[in-house]
Amino acid sequence: MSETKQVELTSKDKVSFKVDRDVILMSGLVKDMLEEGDEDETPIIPIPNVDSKPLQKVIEYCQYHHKEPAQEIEKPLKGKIEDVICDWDKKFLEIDQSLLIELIMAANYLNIKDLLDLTCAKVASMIKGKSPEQIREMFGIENDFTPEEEAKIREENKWCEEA
Amino acid sequence: MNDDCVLREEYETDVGSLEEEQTNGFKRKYISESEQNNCKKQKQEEETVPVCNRMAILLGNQPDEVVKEILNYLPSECTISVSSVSKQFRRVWKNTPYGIVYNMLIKLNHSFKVNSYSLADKAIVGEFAKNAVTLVFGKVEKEIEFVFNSKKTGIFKAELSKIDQQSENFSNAIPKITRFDYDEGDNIGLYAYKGHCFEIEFGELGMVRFSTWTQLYLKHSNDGINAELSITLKELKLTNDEWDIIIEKAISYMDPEVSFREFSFTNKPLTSQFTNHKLDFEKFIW
Repeated sequence: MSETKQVELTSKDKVSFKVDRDVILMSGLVKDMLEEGDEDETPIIPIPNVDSKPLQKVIEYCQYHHKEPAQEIEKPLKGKIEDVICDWDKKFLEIDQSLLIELIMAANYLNIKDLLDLTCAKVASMIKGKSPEQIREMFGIENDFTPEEEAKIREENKWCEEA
Repeated sequence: MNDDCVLREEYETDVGSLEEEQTNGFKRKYISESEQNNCKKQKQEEETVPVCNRMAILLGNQPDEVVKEILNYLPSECTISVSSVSKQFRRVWKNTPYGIVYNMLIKLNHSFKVNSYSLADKAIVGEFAKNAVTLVFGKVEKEIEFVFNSKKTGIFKAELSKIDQQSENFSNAIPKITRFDYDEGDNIGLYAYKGHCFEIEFGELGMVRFSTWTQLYLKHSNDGINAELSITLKELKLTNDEWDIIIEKAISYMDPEVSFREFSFTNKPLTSQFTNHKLDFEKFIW
């Protein structure tokens, strides 16, 4: 067998990563692009939406999980996410929030379903049990309800919570 | 705040020592040593990357899709909290299965209040709410008999059992009726949809609904449950005439003040209304 074919990915901030073709085929987007393209020795694929930091994490994820397929995470999440994922994934998720969110975007853009599931489940796990105020603060979301709307929602939700 | 710092430091350490990561184990010892510094570092970072942009970034390209993906992992009680975070979140939440159910319940509750049905007891409504939620998600282990309108149901059953022309199936079906209820669609406003609803529930078997929004509801509910309930109701083997008797009788128990005010068929004999509504399992049963 000939030596492993490689692919070169270029991030938004112009950093190049050489990756084994088999590894990066986990990305639906890259897979589609490779099928379209001609048989270059080392095809260069620009990933204009993703910075090098998250891209590096994505590659890290693919390098591990193309051999070890991820187990599906049950919906809704029971307990904490750490209870249902493998040790490798646990370590992988030890990242700060903005990188986590960039990873979600990258996984969504590159169409890597397992990574999207993992990262979304992680965010869900962080949101779980938090008040709306805490969630807003955690993710820097602006409260765009008027006080009247907010009061109405509180009234409606109060009843739901009792139920 | 402290948690945040821990997360942040873990990542930064990772970046610094990517090659060693496999063997290095947890990095928590670094954190405890330099936690104070990290908090400062974090503040600096937040100044360069405005906090409010983080989620804005996430919500950038395909917001609903991704937020929905996240909400899918949350158990029902947490999604309520999420629903009041922002307009975007509420919009997405309203289209998740839990959101649909909770909105339904909110509207139902409103309708109960407005019409002062026999639902003054909140606990009972709560029971109903729980059941509705579990029903929609197909996790009903034990159906709890719906108790509201039980008095009416009793009279209703007694009257039905007096009816002469009836098959054995018909007599068997009567004790299975545990509830009937009527709501005006305008008040329920379930899906911002004008319509009238009428329900007869057959205990564990399921519920027959006659209304303009039935099909809309069907669209969101679980097809597996629909199929199952439809089959079990078919097993009652009632003829169309027998269904009409039940429906007609039930309608006679509605409060005419409330029920018929806006009904288009107010002046027509009730039966004629239902000659156009011969029971069609595909359409009316879930």
